Amino acid sequence: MHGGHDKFQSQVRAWLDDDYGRLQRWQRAAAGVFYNRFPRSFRALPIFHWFGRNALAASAPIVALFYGTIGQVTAFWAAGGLFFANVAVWVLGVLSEKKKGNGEAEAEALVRFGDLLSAFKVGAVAKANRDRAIGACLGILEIHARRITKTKKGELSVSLVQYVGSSTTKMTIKYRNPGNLRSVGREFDCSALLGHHACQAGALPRVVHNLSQFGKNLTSPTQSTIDYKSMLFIPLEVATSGGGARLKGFVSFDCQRPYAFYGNRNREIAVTCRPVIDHLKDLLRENG
Amino acid sequence: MPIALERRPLEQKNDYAKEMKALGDEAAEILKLHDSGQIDGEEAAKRLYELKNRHRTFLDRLVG
Repeated sequence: MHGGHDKFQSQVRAWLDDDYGRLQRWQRAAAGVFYNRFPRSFRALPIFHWFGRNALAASAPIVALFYGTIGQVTAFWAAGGLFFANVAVWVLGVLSEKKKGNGEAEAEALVRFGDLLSAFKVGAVAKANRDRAIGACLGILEIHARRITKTKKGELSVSLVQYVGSSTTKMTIKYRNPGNLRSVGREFDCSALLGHHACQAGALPRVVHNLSQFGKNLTSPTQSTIDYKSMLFIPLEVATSGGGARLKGFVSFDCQRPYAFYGNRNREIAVTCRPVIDHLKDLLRENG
Repeated sequence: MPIALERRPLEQKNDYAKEMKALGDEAAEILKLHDSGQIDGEEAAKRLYELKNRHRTFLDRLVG
């Protein structure tokens, strides 16, 4: 029993320290590309279409061979050459496509959204509506995260995990993104909760690329089956009236696909979701 | 009552976590500048766009 606990503690320590060798980093990069770029499902028709289009463009020598105009060897080389030339032209076509340039428009939408949030200060939200406002914030975070991680609806969820009162060992999940049917309201021991360890180790945002690195030492806080593979935690430090900061808990993003937050994605979430996170902190501060 | 924040010293290796925190804080600064009228919305959008791609590497582009 102690062995399992010690092993979990050392795994958590290694994760918090990001203490991995060069080989493991390369493995992580390869896994990041594999899980995010390789198709999860196979469809025969697009492959048949691609092959048929290129074969049709290279078919002239085969027709000439059929009518006896050229020999077999010439037809083979000419058809092969045309096929690969056509593929090369297709690659050039893909590379020369103009980028859609949505990035700056998204950034501007973010600025306007920030304008809207600051126009409606938290104090103006009636206490009875604050639960709905927090739920809406989590819903907005989920939409941003789904877009950035290229994930379908239902594959990614966002939850607000809070410490119970002044406890550092008990937490609860009161809010989840709208449409998320996982249980809420139960209090649980947080000693095996990665987000709690992230909060206690400097309150910095943290990513778990693949939960399988912790083996079977992890349990779900709500006692449900763990169907998610990657996680991102953003601790919530809320300003106090005395000018200090208190740690209220964290926002947890979890995704059913491993490495969903790999690469620039976690940085993009940190920037894009900031106005919503700040608004969420204000709502929590007002809630007391 | 929530717990009082207790900070542990950070290891030097936690670059990505510190980087994420710094990016989030800088985004908040940009939004604050815009909120106070020091920069317009277009300039703020330009800075945020630059910010979210600041540390983007070739591998990150590959991942998409």
